[in-house]
Amino acid sequence: MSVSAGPAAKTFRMEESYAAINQLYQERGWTDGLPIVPPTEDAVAAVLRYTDRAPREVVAVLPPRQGEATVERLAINTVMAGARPEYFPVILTAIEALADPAFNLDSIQATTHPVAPILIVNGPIARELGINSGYNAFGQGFQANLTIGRAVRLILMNVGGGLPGTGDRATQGSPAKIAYCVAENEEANPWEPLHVEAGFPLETSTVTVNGCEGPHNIQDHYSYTGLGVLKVIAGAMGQAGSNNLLGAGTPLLSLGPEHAATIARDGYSKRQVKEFLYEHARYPLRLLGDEYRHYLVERRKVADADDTMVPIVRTPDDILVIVAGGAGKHSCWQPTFGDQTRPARRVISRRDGTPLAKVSDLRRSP
Amino acid sequence: MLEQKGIPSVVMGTLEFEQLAKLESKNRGLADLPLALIPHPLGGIPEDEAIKKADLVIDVVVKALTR
Repeated sequence: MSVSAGPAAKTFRMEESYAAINQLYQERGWTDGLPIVPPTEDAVAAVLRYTDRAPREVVAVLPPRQGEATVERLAINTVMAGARPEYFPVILTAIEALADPAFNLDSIQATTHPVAPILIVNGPIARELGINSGYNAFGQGFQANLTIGRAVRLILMNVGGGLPGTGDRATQGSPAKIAYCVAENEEANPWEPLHVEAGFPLETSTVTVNGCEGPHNIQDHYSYTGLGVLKVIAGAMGQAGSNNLLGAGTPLLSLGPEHAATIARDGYSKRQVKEFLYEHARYPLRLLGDEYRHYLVERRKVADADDTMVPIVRTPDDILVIVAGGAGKHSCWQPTFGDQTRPARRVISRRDGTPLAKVSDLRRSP
Repeated sequence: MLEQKGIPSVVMGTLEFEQLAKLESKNRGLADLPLALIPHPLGGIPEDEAIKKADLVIDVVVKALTR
């Protein structure tokens, strides 16, 4: 297999203090605004021990700069993000998924919409690396979630050129653009997890990317039936102002374990959850302003009638459902960038495509 | 891309995004891709205003597509 080789990274010598080095990275625009861990030769070499690829192999070409994402450049940003070397296979796999044409990284990088690629990690490697799927799954406190997510953002900025105000034109942006990585809570999932639903064995580890907004909370402490919970979720998802109402796409529902358990106990399969939400997560056309209504009638061909309920997806299958979080009566949904992006998924594997059972199998001695 | 397949193309956008359009064109090896740029914004304006803005660049679009 021929592999294109990108440029080798430059090494430079700095005698200055840690504070001075960080100041230089800030001034040159090489960071997300937070301090970085200096990517010394030894630290980068330690990351490269967790791949069987050559340092100059080009994993992807990232827009808008059309920057060549060499293995070495990915490793450098991995160090800068504060990630542990063993996280590298997940980061590299995520970049491969983001480069899938269906994901449309060009638009995700440059748009005014506050979209960020969420990384959903499934399978045993998520547990091996301690990627949090429980309490505060989308929040702070876990090195794997925060630094894997941050490494991907640094790569999108430093290699892809997604810099605020130039290559990234987000009107307001979102905290989700700092770090957005989660594991699915497979133990608490009453149905098949995301990767198994897609046809992979339970013991295969995957990274799924989806172009999402940050989490929108759905609180329901009062319903004790699956139908009751689903009605509240449908009400939350069928909101005005999302790109999904405007133009469909593949929104994500992240069910808290207790909501998932209540819904499953009452006999709903995951497919039936999607069918219910397809039918009921809708917004009344009559409540929208005239101009917005006109757009939906002209472009989405919805019936121009006061009883029209506008769906947020084209088919039930376009709704992604995962289980994440700890105890409590909260779920959330993540609207997406809309119809111009699709989720992409890659298996965490060796270079020859063999799935990895655990990342420690890859580790090479110094 | 259409232009690279020999089909004359033009990018329409607002002046607010001129820098991004030029950056992306250049990075994809299409530094001379014609741009038809109108005053910002394009979204959130009435149809008659949108038509007035289109009138400002219609000659650029015709020229670009009939190269």
